[in-house]
Amino acid sequence: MSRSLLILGLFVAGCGGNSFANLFPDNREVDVAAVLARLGAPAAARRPQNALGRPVVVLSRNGDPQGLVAWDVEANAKLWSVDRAVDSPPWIAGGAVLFRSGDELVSLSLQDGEELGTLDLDDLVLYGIGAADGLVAVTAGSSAGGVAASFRSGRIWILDETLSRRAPTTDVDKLVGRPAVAGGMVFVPWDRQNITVLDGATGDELCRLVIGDEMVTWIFAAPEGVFYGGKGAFRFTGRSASGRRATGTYRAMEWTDPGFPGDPELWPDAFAGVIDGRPNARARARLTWYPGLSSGDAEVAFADDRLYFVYYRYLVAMRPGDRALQWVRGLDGPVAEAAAVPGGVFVVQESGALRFLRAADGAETWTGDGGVPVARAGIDIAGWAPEGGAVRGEDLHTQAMAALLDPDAAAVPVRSLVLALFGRTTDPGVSRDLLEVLRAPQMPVELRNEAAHALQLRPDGDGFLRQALEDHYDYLHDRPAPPVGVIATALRNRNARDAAPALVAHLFDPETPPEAMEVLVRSIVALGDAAVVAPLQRFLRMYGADTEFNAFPNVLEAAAYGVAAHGGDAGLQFLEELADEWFTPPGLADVLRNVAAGRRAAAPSLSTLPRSVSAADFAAVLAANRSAYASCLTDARRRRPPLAHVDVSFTVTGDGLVIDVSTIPADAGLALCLKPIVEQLALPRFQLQQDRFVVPMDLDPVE
Amino acid sequence: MRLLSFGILVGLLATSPALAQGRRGGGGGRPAVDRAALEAAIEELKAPDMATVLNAITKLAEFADPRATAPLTRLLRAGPPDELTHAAIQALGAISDPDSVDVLIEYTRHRRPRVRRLAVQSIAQIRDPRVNDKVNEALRNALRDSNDRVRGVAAIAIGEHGDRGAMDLLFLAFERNVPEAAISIGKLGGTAEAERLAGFLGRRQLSEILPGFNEFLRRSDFPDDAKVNIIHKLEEIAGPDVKRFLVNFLASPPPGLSQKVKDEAQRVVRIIPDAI
Repeated sequence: MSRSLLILGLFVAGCGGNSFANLFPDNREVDVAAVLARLGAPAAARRPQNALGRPVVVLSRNGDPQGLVAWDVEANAKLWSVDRAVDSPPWIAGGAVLFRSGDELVSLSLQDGEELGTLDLDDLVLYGIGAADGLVAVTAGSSAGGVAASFRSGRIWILDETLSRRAPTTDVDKLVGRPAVAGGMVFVPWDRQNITVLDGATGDELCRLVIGDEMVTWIFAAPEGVFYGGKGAFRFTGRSASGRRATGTYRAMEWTDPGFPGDPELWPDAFAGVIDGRPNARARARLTWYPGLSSGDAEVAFADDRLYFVYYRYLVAMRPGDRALQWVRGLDGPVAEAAAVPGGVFVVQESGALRFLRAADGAETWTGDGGVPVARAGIDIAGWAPEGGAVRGEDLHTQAMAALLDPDAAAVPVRSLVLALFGRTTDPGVSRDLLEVLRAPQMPVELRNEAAHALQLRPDGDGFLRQALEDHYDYLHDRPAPPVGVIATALRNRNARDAAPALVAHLFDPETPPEAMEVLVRSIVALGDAAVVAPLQRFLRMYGADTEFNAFPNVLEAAAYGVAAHGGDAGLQFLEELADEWFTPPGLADVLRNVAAGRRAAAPSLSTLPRSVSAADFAAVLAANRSAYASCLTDARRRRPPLAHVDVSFTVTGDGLVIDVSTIPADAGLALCLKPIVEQLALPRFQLQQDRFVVPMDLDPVE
Repeated sequence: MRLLSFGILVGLLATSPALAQGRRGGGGGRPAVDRAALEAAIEELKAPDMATVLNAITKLAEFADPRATAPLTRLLRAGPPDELTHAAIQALGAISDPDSVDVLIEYTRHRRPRVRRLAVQSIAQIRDPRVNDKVNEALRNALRDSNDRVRGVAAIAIGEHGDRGAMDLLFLAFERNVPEAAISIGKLGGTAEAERLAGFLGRRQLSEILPGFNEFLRRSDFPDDAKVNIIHKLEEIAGPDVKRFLVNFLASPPPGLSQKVKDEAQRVVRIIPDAI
């Protein structure tokens, strides 16, 4: 056991204090009301909250010597600089700049960089600080985040800006995360499920929240209120006492599609220990947003209705409600830190370049240069937004295509995200742009696959996917083969029957990769009719005894199935004759005989089925079983409150296998939830290989 | 960049006459084939064992009789194992019957590169105005293949087949690192193409360009002045490779080579020292 853990353990055992007691009541409305009374009414940030009242950034220098540079953004001039070891990001805390240096927390004057005080961290892992109005709260613990419950221990210091104690230090057997300070109170998240509010003068516990259905991984305070949450965002209101998402003031922000590269949190994890001050991967791939001003208890708003994603040197602005792409901007170098504020997003690049990008269009309305390479930065500019600036010249289409055609390999993950978001915009020209991406010679395969997937989700996507199939590999003109497997799957999922001939053209293209051949053949069979029998027979003949598909026997089996399904008696006879050829490998011969025999056996019952069923009949079967999948609809409504109605498309085989489910508006989570459940229902059978049914669904519960 | 050594290209050149001799065209000058032997070999194609069928295909390739085209096509379309596929395609090449063009074109799109290569070589042997367009298109398409050996064979085959309309495509192929295209450029090109090929001197390996010049210099239908111009271009970059090339050229000159060209080549050989 380390020295720090031992000391902390002794404190925890001996000093229970008035806070964090086991019997302190959770979620008491009267306590919440008292805290709210001290917080006062939310207000819009009118000027930065630091003691100077001016927009300031503090940069930690990357390289030797280490040090800090404070920059007055409004004056676009250096305030001061100091050379000193910096082992954390710098935090701007009222009239001070705090940072870890070795085993000490150091406070410098924001005004002139003079040292105000230090605090020995006792070898504990620092989680972070919160500060406001001269009050500074610091949390630390025995280890960074993931310690087993029996070893958890944390410490909370309540200090002033000279790092002198304002209230007793509290040691607890909890995992305490980075705190927030507001209204003379300290909000401490702990054990990822609770929030304790301490009095800044006494350290006494004033209020405790336990959130029952969401992990609490972060908390912060702003003039607009106190916000906390995990995947979603709560605002501290009178409804916080409920301890639940549904009854609290809560905004769901969960989604799985599209995924964000680096899997960033909605707000930085308060329980991630501050290990060092080096450039941080989490800072390079992160979401940033600033709370909007809301009245009442009903909502959590985002300033400018914007959620920003920062990745490497790209910024992507989305609407938080539906992740609709608003703008994209690629910078000339990686971003060290970024902070959303009302009116835009402030960016500090590793080069030292400073920029303010306007929320509306991403236009650069202010620039500066800190003059040093930057490792990390503290940003406090909320309430300041540069005036003016021309409207950005490029429209969204131009911005997105510039990003998508960017040859920078390091940007591929964010280009993939842009592609997924761009593919959802309703502009009819987008499908053509996606096709351009699909056809671009040097486009990485993951982006081409993503483009095909995005086209699958677009109402006019079939035609463009078919156009993509017109391409064939051409060495001389550096033209790649289209991603046939992905396109074939997409066309099959959309039940694009007229695409079968275009797919057949790739059946005999040697550039179709072997691993894509099975899905290609199955798509031809699913979408085709009697016209595909001859090419499938030729394919079986050409490769039946050939060694090419030794490692992919399912390809030949799929082709045989197609001949049986669409070829009638003559097709079955063909399979049996091929099985009897002396050169047909025994394994394949067995497959051919089995496929033919199976089809002959099923023929009588198949003939009694209708060719297909109507969409109304299919919808009626689903409606009768709504209770089976109602939870999917409820969950989608919870995740995306504006979503009240969707059209769900089901592509289903004649024997009841659900090939694909998609929704308009697109919601991959809903589609994924519905598919296995609907597959379990007794769906109507029909003769066609597959058909597609569009079923309108209201997400609200049926009265 | 894939480099084709001078030695390999010279080897390829050496095989060209043999390929030409293998062509049977419309059957003119072909020795009479024993009808019974031919029919027996055709019958053996139906045998249910690999060795017998392979033996029959070999015989039919030797007979090179168009009457075997349909049976061999049937065999290919039945989907035989690899060895029989390879042999049947080569046999059709030996027969070089225009009726086999369609099936050979199908096999220029086979998934295995070896099959595509054999099909390209076989199809290039078919000289019949009725199918020239089909053959030319198939050979040009093969230049776009992802496999470098298929592209190389196609580039040479275009020259063998005499597709002068493919000149721009051959230059594109040469620029795109298909060095075999230089040979066909030399076989088919005029003075402008010789100049264009010379434009690659200093930008591409000399060993990739010399085979093209070799073809130009050996042609009786290529003007002497243009041949002298090629020699002057080589003189500008005089070195051991150039000297070796010209020495070899003079050692086995093409029939009817003019004294003017011979003198110029000898002059350049003399002024290039043995070692630089």
